[in-house]
Amino acid sequence: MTWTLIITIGIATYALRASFLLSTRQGTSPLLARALRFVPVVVLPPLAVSAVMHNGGSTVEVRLLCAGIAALIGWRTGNAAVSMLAGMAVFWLFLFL
Amino acid sequence: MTKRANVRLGIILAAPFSLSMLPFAMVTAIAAQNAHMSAAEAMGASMIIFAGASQLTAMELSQHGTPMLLVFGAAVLVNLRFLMYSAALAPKVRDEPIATRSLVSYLLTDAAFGVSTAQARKDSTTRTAWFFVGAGTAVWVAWQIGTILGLTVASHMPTHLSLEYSVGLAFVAMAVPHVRDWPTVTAAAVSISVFLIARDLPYSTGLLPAAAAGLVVGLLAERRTA
Repeated sequence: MTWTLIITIGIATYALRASFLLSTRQGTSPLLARALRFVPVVVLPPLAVSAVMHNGGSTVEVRLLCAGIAALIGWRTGNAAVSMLAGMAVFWLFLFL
Repeated sequence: MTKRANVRLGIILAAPFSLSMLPFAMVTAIAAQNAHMSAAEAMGASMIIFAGASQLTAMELSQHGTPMLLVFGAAVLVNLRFLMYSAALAPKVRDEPIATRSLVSYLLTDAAFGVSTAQARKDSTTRTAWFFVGAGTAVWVAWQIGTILGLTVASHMPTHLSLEYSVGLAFVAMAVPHVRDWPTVTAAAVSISVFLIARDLPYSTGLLPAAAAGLVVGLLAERRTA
């Protein structure tokens, strides 16, 4: 990842953040709002599966299992940090026991 | 409340959330190292992009030799939710000078938005812009400290600890809160399935049909249940 990417993504992200805050436009259309709600839902889960499959030691099966446990903990506790730290702890258990 | 009191309250109420951002900022530093970025580039990303999901997406994808345009597109896509936050926040800060609104824009994150809208609902005398500047600054400071910590930890930890596994877990943890009802579960399941079917496509390009299919199915599922 290069400086070109860092800066262009940074500028685009700022434009999104400033879109309504720095303009006089009001509200999004209902359809756009509904579509926007789904964007993280359809982008983050496949990236999660891909990142879990490609990063880390042990086997793919163990990595997916630990990620599943982390997801369950995140869903039950509603706490992302706890989910991630617990997932890492379970993964280390598998890795070293 | 004075301007200063608003800022201070924002910092205090955002502090616990900022603390829980630390591990995520650390993971972006680990992901940066996986993507062969220098410490300066990792810090630059945390300061200029200042958005975890986006930073991780760009780092994770560029690690696989993905073309720049696709990395850019995916990183911006996960930030589209800021449009909604910007629209929701705009009426509350409309009367502030443009410098303040520019600062609020830069500091706009999930955590700062969540804390500020909750506070605005609870106490209508809160001056949202200044409360937000306090909350956003707390998150910003934590994000930069976390990146520095991550860079330090990642370069000193032995490789057999497989710290890079935390990148996958960070994506999982970020994805879970967005999946909360039947239509979003369906959309997530469809996007994962299409992505797995298309995973042999080069450079994670399967992400595009996966997201598109998930979006269409999700919107249809929502219409049926509505």
